[in-house]
Amino acid sequence: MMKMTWIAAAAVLTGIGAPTPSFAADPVVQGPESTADWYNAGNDFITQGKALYPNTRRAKNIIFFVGDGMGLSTQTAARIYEGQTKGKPGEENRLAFETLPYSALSKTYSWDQQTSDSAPTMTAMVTGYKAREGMLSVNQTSTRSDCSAANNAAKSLKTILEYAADSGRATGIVSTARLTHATPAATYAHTPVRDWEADSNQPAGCGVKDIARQLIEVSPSVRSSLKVAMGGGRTYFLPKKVGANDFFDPEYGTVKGRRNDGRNLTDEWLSTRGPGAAYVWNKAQFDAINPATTEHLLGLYEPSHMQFESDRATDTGGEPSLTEMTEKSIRMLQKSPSGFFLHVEAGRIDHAHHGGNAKRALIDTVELSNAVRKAMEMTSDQDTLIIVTADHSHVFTLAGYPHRGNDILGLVHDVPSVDGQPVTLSKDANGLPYTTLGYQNGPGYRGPMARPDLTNVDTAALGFLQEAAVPLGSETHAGEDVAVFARGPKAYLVRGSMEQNWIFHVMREAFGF
Amino acid sequence: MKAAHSTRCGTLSLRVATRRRLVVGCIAVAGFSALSGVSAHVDTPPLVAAKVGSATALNSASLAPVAARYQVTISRRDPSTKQLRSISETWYFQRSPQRVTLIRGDIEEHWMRDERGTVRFERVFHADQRVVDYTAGELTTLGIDVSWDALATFIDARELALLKPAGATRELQRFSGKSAGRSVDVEWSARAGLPARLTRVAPTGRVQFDLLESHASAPAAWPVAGLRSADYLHVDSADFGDMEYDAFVRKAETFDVMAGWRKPHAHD
Repeated sequence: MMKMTWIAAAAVLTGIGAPTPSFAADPVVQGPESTADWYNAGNDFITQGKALYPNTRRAKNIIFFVGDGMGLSTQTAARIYEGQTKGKPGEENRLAFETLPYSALSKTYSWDQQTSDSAPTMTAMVTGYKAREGMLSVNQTSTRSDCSAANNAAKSLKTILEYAADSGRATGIVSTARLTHATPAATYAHTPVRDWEADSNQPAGCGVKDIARQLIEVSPSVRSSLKVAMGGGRTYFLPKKVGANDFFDPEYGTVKGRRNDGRNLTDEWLSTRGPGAAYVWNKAQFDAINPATTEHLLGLYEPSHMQFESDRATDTGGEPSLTEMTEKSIRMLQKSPSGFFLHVEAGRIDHAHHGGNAKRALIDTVELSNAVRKAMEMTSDQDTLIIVTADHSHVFTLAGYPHRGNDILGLVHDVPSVDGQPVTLSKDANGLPYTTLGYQNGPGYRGPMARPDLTNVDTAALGFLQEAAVPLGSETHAGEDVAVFARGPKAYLVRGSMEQNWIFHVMREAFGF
Repeated sequence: MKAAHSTRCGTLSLRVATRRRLVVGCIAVAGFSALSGVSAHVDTPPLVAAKVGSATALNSASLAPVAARYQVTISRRDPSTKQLRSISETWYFQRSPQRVTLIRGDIEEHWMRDERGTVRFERVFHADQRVVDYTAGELTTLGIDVSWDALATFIDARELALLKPAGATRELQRFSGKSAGRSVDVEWSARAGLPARLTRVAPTGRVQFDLLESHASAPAAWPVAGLRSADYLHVDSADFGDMEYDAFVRKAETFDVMAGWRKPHAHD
């Protein structure tokens, strides 16, 4: 019955050769599948599932990917977006991590939050304990803003990265956010305030070390094992002044360092990590790094967060992509005969959503998928556990009844109710079209007057802000579950409905701790 | 009261009918009066019909360093009484080739560009001892189309092109017309390279800038930009969404919203 190809259907959609409506007419919206394709694909899925066996080995390596704010709706929209960029309808597409054999739902509430921020959620995943809002890898008995170093030490929770280091494995951290930002920082830092990223962010005389300093002054085992740390946040490692002179960022001549203590932690990285250490801050330097000869690599590519993937090409100093950072990190870590732990964060999905800007969020999600694909290519599922998840969701939705292949960034066009008729815009109660993608709150609010007429608006423009129901300067996180995907040793333990902190226990079990 | 000021300012902020928002917070609201000459509050001088350059020629005026003091009168129509309520503030404006600064009460706004032309922005909140950083990338994400000329002269060439010459004196050129649905009147001082008076009138209110004095460099008695904020805590505006628990962030975000920054773009 499905005689038309997708391309032919697209021609009909654009009005070329529109058929006369009749009961015998073909539907103008059609997927590319034959009826047999549906059955065969399902059968293949079962065949693949039956061939699965629980890999009960210990993992030599673990790569732990986190898409910050990558809720299920983001994952779905990104999957469609990527598919459509390949000229396909999009819905049938699969992001790289969606092909992993094991999956679960992760409950993201924290000890004191129904809807969480990134600090307790990442703490849960890397320590095994749910924790408090805004706190990194310290337990729930911690007091907010407690500057006592002794209290902080007593309440610190050992992270999977620290366990890996103590076991003699190499470790690495990669993020497109600041390396001192909550998600990557939770792997190595312990602090009751996630914002204590540099000493200038702390109260005077605070006994707890700032997060950037903690990256440099880690335990001896982590210092030895942490082979690669790359992301943004350069100014948190640089002094405000050297002597009486302002200290300026190498990429942006008007930006100063943020450290009050006068320390240049990038220099300290080099001085404390031995002759094989390197520090880079731009793409050319990154490209020049030879993983075979570099023992400890610190890469800080922006004063604050790195660029969105959509804007990366225009960066002043040039930046590597998340995929490129992942690839180089794996090459460095694979030198370790004892194996490695690598955390990779797509940190800016979250920021794009906070800005109510879906397209940037989707592009960064696709880039995370690219990074996972690269990791899958470079490792074996026999010895490397790969986990991909999110820390929390966002109030991001796919709405209406758009037809198959409808531009995911576009206005909703319904499936015609009569075969042969062209697709038409879906309209709200006031007769105005609306987009598939939207937010429950955020800067995309258009009120208090009537909704805008988007008929002639380029809703796929990079800077377009999807509509929001509740006016907020920044869109918020959401409290529903997020997905977890896994392959490799002990990946079968990722199953069903999981508390977020159980992800740590899967990794612990895989490493055999 | 600070929030109220920003609201008034934001209500009248310049929105240009392009995809992207133009210029800067409250600087964009400007309008001038008064004279170029040095100092002195000057009433609107008599304008004569005379040959004037094209409107866009204004922005080719020298962008020599300048320090200017303005009286800014912001009038907002009360929605219930329909009465105009006005406040008057003193704003200090400083321009150098790589930096444009506006100081108004407890708020400072700094626009900086480096040798590559990359522009970034800082908003200083003295009452909170905080500085909000806006990186070049974040400005792009917010849809801010930075026009250095507009920052440095209070008015953008694209907007000036919409205005018509309306007379001139020896020291002032006047232009008036409509822009983005608002009446705009500019008296341009070529000597200062700034508007001597700039008036914007919208249905919701009116903003008028009157140049009180200008100098090649700021007099010693003027507030010094950046001096008090050297040790303030810096916040990256990209982190606002993750810092909603912080009352200061909510306050700072309000300034963005009122400047039209965290809102849908004008094209819809």
